[in-house]
Amino acid sequence: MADALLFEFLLTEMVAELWPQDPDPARGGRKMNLSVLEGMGCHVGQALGERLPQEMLAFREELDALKFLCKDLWVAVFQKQMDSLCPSHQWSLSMASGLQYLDEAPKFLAFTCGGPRGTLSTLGIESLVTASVAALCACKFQAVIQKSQGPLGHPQLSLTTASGPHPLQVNSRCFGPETLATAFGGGLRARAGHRMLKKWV
Amino acid sequence: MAVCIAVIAKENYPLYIRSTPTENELKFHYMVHTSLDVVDEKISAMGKALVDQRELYLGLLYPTEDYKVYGYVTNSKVKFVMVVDSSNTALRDNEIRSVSAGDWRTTPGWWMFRKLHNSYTDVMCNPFYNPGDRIQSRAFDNMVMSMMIQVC
Repeated sequence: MADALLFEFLLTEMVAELWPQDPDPARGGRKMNLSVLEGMGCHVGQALGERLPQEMLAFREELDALKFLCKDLWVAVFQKQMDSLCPSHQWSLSMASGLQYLDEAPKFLAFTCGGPRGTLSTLGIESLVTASVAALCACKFQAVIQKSQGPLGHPQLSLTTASGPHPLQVNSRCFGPETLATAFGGGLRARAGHRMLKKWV
Repeated sequence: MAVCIAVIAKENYPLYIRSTPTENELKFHYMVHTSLDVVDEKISAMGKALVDQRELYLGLLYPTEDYKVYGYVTNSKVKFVMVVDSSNTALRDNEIRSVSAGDWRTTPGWWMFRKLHNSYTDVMCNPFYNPGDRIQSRAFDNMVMSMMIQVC
């Protein structure tokens, strides 16, 4: 459980660092910071996309990759099952419990949007993931898969999860922090993030 | 004993290639390059084959008079190619393919590829590594060298 808290603190600090009160217009302002966060999430997603399917059989077609994303990755990262699979993909998660936090939500979602995008790109599917906070205790992610024949041929995929209202703070339970920390640690066993440093040279 | 180990990206360019006898390196590079065709053929054949043949380990790709070439592909379409001396009879990967799926996993060749896959995954998890760059990790190098000098 300590791993989950570690990640929450890390995410809070990352957002606080990259979302200053006076954005620097010379460097693109806040949009660039959002893309930095999303890029970080993308890299994490790529690493997860390598590590999680390691024990599995080969994906023969795109459908297998999507099934992996919906079932294994989703459960591993968000610790929730997918409820339904519709032609247009929208992931809903339980999160913010107060209207006053709706403005704060997007900057925490940038990292989470990058995650599935990175995993999909590792599996060979180029996509674009966006998020929208529509109502209390719910937020939706939409993945648009970009097919090679051009922008006209992109089917939208939809996945929904059960979003029971949780009286939690806005920046928690957005993502599966435990699993992120463990994915870095090498494997799905719970280890603190600092152990991953030993593997790198 | 493996004489050459290569990691090929999904766009078919080498991320890492190392061979033991440093003369004639070009010959091994050429061998790895020609084996990519066989890998692609096996992958597309796997797509049309039965469900229970979806394995990451591709087995013997092709034998030459001095060497044998083995292949392994990950789910992210990164290929590992290993060139082994033909005189090494301990590495018999193509023989133990029995009916039950569990048996061939005990061959040393499969374990070597698993170690490669694990080390490659560690390299990918390194935040300082950009996917698509050449692999320059010392830990990965050490693992590959240990695989090449061990006598099976």
